[in-house]
Amino acid sequence: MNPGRRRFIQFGGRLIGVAALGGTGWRIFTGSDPDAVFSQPTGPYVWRINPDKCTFCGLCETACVRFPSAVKAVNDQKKCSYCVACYGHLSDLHISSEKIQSEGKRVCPYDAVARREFSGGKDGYHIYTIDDAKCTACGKCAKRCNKLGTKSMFLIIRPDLCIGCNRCAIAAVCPEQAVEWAHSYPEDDFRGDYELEHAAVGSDEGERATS
Amino acid sequence: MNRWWQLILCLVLAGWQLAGAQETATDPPSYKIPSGEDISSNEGIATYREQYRPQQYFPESAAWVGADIAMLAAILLLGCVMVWRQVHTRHFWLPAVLSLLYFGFLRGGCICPVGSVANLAIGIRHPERVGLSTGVMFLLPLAVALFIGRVFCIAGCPLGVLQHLLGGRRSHTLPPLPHAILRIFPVITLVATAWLALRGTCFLVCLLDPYKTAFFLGYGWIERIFHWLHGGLVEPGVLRVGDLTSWGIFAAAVLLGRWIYRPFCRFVCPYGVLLGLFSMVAFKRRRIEQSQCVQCGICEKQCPVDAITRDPKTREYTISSYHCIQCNGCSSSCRKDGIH
Repeated sequence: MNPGRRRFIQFGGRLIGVAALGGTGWRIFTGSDPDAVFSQPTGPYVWRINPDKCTFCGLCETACVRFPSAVKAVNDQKKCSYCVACYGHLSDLHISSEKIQSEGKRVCPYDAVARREFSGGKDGYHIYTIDDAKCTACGKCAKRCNKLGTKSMFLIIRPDLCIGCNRCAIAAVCPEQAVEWAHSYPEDDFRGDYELEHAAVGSDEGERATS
Repeated sequence: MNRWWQLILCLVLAGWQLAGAQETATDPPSYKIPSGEDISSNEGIATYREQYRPQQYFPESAAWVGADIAMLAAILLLGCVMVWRQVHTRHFWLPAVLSLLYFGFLRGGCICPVGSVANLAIGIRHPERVGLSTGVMFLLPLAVALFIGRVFCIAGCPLGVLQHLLGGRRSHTLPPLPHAILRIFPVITLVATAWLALRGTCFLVCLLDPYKTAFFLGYGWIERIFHWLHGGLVEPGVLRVGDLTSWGIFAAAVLLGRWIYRPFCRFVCPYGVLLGLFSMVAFKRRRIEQSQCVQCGICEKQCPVDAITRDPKTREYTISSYHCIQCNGCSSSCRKDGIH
C-alpha cells in the first residue's frame, strides 16, 4: 500500500477512535435526560424485591449466588401490630401467653424471629424483629404474616450483602418477576408508603385477624 | 507462571469454598430495640412507632469509585511502562496479581470492563443508569489501547489475568480453519451483547463469563473478613458461592486454558474486539523490524495468541495489532532484538 494512503487511513482511524471515545464519554457523563433527574431519585441502582409482587415462595433462599443468600426477611415496625401471638413467629397460635416464649412452636426453622416484651406485661405489646445473622430468606414468616397477619414482614435484598451481579440469579428464576433493578432507598421502608390500617392495635390483634 | 503458585491459587479458592467459619454474630449492628421503660412517654408503643426509622443498608461507599479508578489507572500505567520498556514477559505476574486481588477478589470481578459493554449499551439510551466508575472502566482501557495497544488484556483485566495465571506454559495452536471461525465469535458476542442489553433481555457477556464464581467467592470471603475485623455482622456457617454447575463450568474453563491460552479472551470476549479495533490505529504499535529479522520463526511459535503470521509470498512475519495482547513474549524471545 502506498505510504501516504496508509498514513491517511491511520489518521482517519485515530480520529474516529477519539471521536467515538469522546462521544461515548460525553453521552454517558453529561447526557442524562433532564426530566429523569426530577422523576427519579439520584443514587445507586440496586437489585430489590418489589413487595407488591413477591409471593414469598422461598426461591430467594437458594437461587442467590451467595449462600447464605443476600436476601433477608425484615419486619416493618411501622406496620407491625405488636401482637401477643404473631403469625410470623408461631405456627400454632392456640397457646397461652405465658408459654409462648418457652414452648411456642416457631415458624422459623432457624428461630430468627425474636419476640421481646415492650410494655403491658405478658398480654401487652411485643416487638418482633428478625435476626439477620440467622435468617436464610426462606420467607416462611413473611408468607404467614402476609397471608394471615398485618403484612408487616417482607423480604429484602440487602444492598450491603448483594454483590450486584449484572444479571441477578434470583431475578432469573423469580416466578413473579418481583426482582427489579431500581434506585436504592431505606430498605426497611416498604417502598416508603405506609398503610396503617391497624392504627389502634390491641393485645388481641392475632385473634382479631383470625375472626 | 510457576506451577507452585498456580497450585497455591487453586488451594486458596478451594479453601475458601470448603473452609467452615463457625463464628456467630455476637453483636449485630442493627438498631437497639428499646424496652417500654426507655421511652419516657405515656403512649409507649405509639411513640416507638413514631420514632422508628427504617434501617438503611448502604450498597457501598462512594470512596470505592475513586479507589477503582485510581487502581485501574495505576495498573494500566504499570502495564504501559512494562510494555514500553520491553520488560521480559515473565514479569507480567506483578500487574496480574494486583489486578486479580483488587478487581477480582476485593471487588468481586464486578464491574469489569468486559461486562460494562452491556452497561454502556444501556447507557447510550439511559445515561443516568451508568455510574462514573462503570464509564471510566469502559473508556480508560480503550483510550490506553489507542496509544499503546491492548495493555489492559495482559495487565488489568481480572478475567484475563485469571486465565493467564492458571494457564498452561505452552499454548497449543489450533488448526487454521477452526481457529479462523472461532475468531469471529467475539464480534458476534459483541453485537449480541449490545442488542440483548438494549432489548433488556439479559446481560449475555455476564452469562458467558465462566470465571465469575471464583470472583464472587473471593468477594464474599474478603467482605466477611472485613466485617469480622470491624466487629460487624458476620453470618454464621459456611459461606459458599455458586453451585456445582457453576464450579464445573469454572473447572472446565480453567482446564481448557491449560491447552489453549486464554480461551475466553480470544474466542468470546466482546471487549477485546473494541480494544483490538483501537489497537489497530494505535500510535505505538508492536512491529517486526524487517531489516533485522532473520525469519527464524521463534516469535511465531511462542506467540500465545497466534497474532504473528507469515506472509506466504514475501515470507515476512507480521504482527496483527488487532490480536496482540502486548505480553512482550515476542520481544523477549527475539534473538535479534528486532521486535519493538
